[in-house]
Amino acid sequence: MAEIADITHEFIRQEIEEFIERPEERQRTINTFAKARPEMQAIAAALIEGENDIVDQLTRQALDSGIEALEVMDYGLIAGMGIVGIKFRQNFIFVPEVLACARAMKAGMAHIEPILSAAGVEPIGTVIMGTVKGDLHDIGKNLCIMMLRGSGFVVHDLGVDTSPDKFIEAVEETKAPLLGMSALLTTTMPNMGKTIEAFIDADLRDEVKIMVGGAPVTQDFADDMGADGYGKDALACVALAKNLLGVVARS
Amino acid sequence: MGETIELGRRIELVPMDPHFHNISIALNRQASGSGPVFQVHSYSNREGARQRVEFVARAMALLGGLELVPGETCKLRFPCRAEHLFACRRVFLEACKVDPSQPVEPRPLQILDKKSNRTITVTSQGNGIYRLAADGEELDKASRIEAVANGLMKLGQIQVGVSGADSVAFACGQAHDLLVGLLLVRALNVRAVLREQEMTASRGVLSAPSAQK
Amino acid sequence: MNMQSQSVGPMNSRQRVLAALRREPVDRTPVCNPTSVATVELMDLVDAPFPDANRIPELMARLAATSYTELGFDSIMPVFSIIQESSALGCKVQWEQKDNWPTVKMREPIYQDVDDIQIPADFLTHQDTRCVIDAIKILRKEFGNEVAIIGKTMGPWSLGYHCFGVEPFLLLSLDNPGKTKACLDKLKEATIQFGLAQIEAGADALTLPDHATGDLVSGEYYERYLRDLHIEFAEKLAVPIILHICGKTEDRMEFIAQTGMAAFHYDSKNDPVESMRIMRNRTSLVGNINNPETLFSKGPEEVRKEVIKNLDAGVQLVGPECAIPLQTAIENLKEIPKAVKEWHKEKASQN
Repeated sequence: MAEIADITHEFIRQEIEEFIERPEERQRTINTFAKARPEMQAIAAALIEGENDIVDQLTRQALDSGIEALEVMDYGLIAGMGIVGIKFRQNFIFVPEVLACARAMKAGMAHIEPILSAAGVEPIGTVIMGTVKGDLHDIGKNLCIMMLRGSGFVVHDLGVDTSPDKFIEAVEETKAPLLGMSALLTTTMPNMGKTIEAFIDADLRDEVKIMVGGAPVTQDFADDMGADGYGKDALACVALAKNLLGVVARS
Repeated sequence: MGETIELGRRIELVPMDPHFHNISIALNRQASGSGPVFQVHSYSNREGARQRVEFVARAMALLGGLELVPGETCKLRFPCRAEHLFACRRVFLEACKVDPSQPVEPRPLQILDKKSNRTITVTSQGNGIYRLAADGEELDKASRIEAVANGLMKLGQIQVGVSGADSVAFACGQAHDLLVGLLLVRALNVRAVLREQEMTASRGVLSAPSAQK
Repeated sequence: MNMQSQSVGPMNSRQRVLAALRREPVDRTPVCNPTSVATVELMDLVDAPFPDANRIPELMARLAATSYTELGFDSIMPVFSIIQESSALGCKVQWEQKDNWPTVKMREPIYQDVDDIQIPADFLTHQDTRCVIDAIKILRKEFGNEVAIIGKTMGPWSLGYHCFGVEPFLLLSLDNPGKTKACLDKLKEATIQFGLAQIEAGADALTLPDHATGDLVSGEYYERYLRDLHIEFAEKLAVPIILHICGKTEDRMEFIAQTGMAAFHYDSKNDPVESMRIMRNRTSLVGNINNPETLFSKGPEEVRKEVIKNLDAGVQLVGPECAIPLQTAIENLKEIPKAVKEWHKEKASQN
């Protein structure tokens, strides 16, 4: 079992000590960063601080130096985003800070994605994501998509204001086994139930697992609407997606 | 005061009826001396709205086996006088979907299940008990029948497994052939049913701490 | 502590709402909707469906009046949606159908930088702002001083979201606080102009939604960016202002209480007792009946429980937490004034 002293980057050690309270999460994070090279820890630190230019630069440098793209993604970008997700969940940071971190992650992923696509890395699943009809908010959805892609999912983003028909068409075309719906308004949440009903009408409900999320959504509401799962934030969304598809994490 | 009226408890709503000028149509449950009564109602004052609502009520009777309350054109009840709330909501939604220019056809007690490529047949045993059967290979037959039975249970709040996992029973002890035929279409696709089946199957199985809820 | 006084004679709805907003004694707690209580069934009842009821003053007034004439609320609030000002500023709007809300196309922002912001000369004569002003005039003429007519003017933070896009605006707030403040300073002119026009048309109070919600930004953000602007609004708009912010807001209620605004319309994520404790009678509270889980999904019994929870805590005005889902059942809405009246009757019989 690794210890915090095994992590070379001082800022990362401070982040873990100050912000990660749950013992199992803390140990998991320590284990990850203890294995990470100093260059990866530096990328993670820059991402946590929302420094997109530095993440861009360090990612390029790491790849140019011969470090594998998967390693940079897992131990630099995703590891850093993991700490961001925990801080957000615990209300240490809010959406503007998370957006800045997401921007930094995107800057790094811009170098990683072409390499992974060319290498034909096997995706772990396919997901359709969209914000429900009448709702134009997509911050949460976009964060989830970024985390899902980073975790190895192929994600088809339907955008905002997605009608039940559009969700159904996307599932029919892609044969995606998983669908994620988001809503940020209490007035549009009922459209989640409508979409699920539409899948029943289209005789497709058995073909797809449906997860829901968004600030006003709760587990109770998800159960009432007939969803298969509820994720309270982007981290939970990834864990839920893996659970619903019975996916084992990449080692 | 105004024109809203006491209608009991609204249990279902079609907010925009595609067959009549997008009016909203509601199903309300009311108590009465002889058991629960369901009223179909719309607040629209548009000409023809009343006739549309009456059509939906008649369609509910034809599709789901409810009867119109004597002297009423929009109030219905089950002949058994029981509530069957979930089932009634489903009958209402189906009745609103029916194209008014086409005859209303009750659903048979038999259906092709595309998922398993079998014909599912439901037979009344009397006393409100229905037994499900399927043709085709024995492999997975029993589990598919059980899933469909659970689907009927979920949709209609019918008891399942009263005399076997392949049977369902109405607590009222009365026959509801039309209702079962209507619910059967939906029962093939109720994903939540399978989730419940999985939960039942996992009871008594020791889970690793990380997998425990 | 409810400001009910046995020495207060019977009040009409308007008197009751205005007294509660000033935290003065009332004959009973008013039922108030600073946000929409329109439903598809009410639209059918008065033949005023969306989207037209958001754009045609006669339909807007007719639908809005049902909160008083049908539901028994003490207020009428005709500005159902949140798009009027943004539309008048030039944002594109998706109008949708009867069972859905019009929304601003925030994916097609009209501003990229602070210099892009300008309040057009026809801001108050644009169809969508004009509609609200005319609807208020119609309602005032029809109801006189019988019922409180509440207008609505969007705050600059919310306008920032609409005009810049939510993500770009939030990133700007982090990247360049100075520029963000400059944006808010320019956008506030729309808030003030529209508010003044509604007051002139006859509004008794104004709801001011400014969505610096705890689900998105910290309490410190509210203090940094909005508190002083809200103080300014309370000074310049000479009617009671009801600030509306969705989501968790207990961490910013202390700052809100410093603004001098009459009331805060608060969300069900906040506890009534704790919220009242923070406000310490400096600002009235309005709310906070849950929309998606209670008003939309459950029945009158559950609605009643939440009404009582607010009354027991001494909340000054009771109502839904935000614009209600359009499919909310009428009986759930009617339960709110019913529960309030019965609670007061029971209290009176105990005394």
